[in-house]
Amino acid sequence: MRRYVFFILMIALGIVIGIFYAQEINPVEIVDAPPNTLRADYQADYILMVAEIYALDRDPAQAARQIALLGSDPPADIVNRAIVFALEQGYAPNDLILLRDLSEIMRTWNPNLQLEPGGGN
Amino acid sequence: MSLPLRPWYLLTGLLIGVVLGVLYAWVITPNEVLETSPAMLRSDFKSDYRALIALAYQSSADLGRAEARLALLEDEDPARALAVQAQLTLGEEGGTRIAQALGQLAAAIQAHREAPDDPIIASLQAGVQSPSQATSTATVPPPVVRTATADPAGQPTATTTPSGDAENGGNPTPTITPTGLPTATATPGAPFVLLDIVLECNPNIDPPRIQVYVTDAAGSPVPGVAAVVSWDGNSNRFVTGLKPAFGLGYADFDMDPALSYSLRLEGGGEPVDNITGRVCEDAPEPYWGSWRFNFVQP
Repeated sequence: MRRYVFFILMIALGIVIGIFYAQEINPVEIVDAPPNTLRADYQADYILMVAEIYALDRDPAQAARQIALLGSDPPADIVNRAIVFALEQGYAPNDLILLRDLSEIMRTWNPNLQLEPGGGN
Repeated sequence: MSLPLRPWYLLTGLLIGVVLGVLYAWVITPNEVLETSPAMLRSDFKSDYRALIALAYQSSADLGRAEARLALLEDEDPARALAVQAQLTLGEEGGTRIAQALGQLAAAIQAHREAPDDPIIASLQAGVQSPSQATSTATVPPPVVRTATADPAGQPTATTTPSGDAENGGNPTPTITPTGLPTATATPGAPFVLLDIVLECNPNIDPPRIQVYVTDAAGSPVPGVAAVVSWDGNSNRFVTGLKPAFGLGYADFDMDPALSYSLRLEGGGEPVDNITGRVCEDAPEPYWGSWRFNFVQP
């Protein structure tokens, strides 16, 4: 019986050592990641870039394509998540306006109808 | 009886535990909480990200923000990475606008690096440039600085939310336009005119090139101007500012000295025809010289 107890104790010790090694000594180096794995703050800044470009181009189709890289959720949802993050982090008012503009157009934009660039203005 | 086996089963338990621990940390956990940074993106996504930064810069004209975003990609030389991507993008369908954006941002960063810290010196430099500074060698034009560059918002920050530092917190002192630098673009309706043509005799330039230098009315190099070179039913388009090391208004094209080329700037201006190779004989071995075309906006 004692042998089993010690055996299990050694496994537990091994797990601790293994995790320490894998996380501290030789951690996983993430490479070749897709954009949808970006941390929330980077995703928010990504959306802000899309909003800045949209402010100049007024091309909702292009904006939707760029947003789609961040995941399969509806573009408006992704933008809204970015707005929530931006509000929490105290983004500049001008940036919030850009994000809201983008959110608005993404809510009404229908890929099947294909609005003319500038038509969402 | 079982004493000699005791260390082995303990060691076996330890090894099993280590394997489980490593599996948990390397395989299971990263898949659950994967939060990457732009530097970890696959190279094609990094290119998309870089293009997005450049296009956003065209809209916001906030160089500090663009630089902070580029820093997230951890390129060794962001300006060079932009210029290289611009060259590659030019060949892609519909990539002209992105290439121009990348080139303009590369040029802006280059100009920002070369700009003196003192805004007075900077503005003086902007004022003394002359469009006729054609020399016999390819020289890097002085930095183009229209306004002071000591923009606090222009400094890349270490934060992970570059957007937060763009607003200057209502600080009234610095009212400097961060974009004054390289966003100098051609005034619509005012085509560039050919100021002069210079034969560049430099044996190090091989193959010989058609070099284009474009300056605006104030003598400042203008990035983002497209030149089209045609020959024998073919044509090639190249844009100024994509090789910041040679100046913001510079672009070049490798020519075959045996062919006859025609060169024009997009957006107006007279074409220059019959551009062929010319031999330089200022070295023991004759070699082909390059043509330098200086365009200026009247």
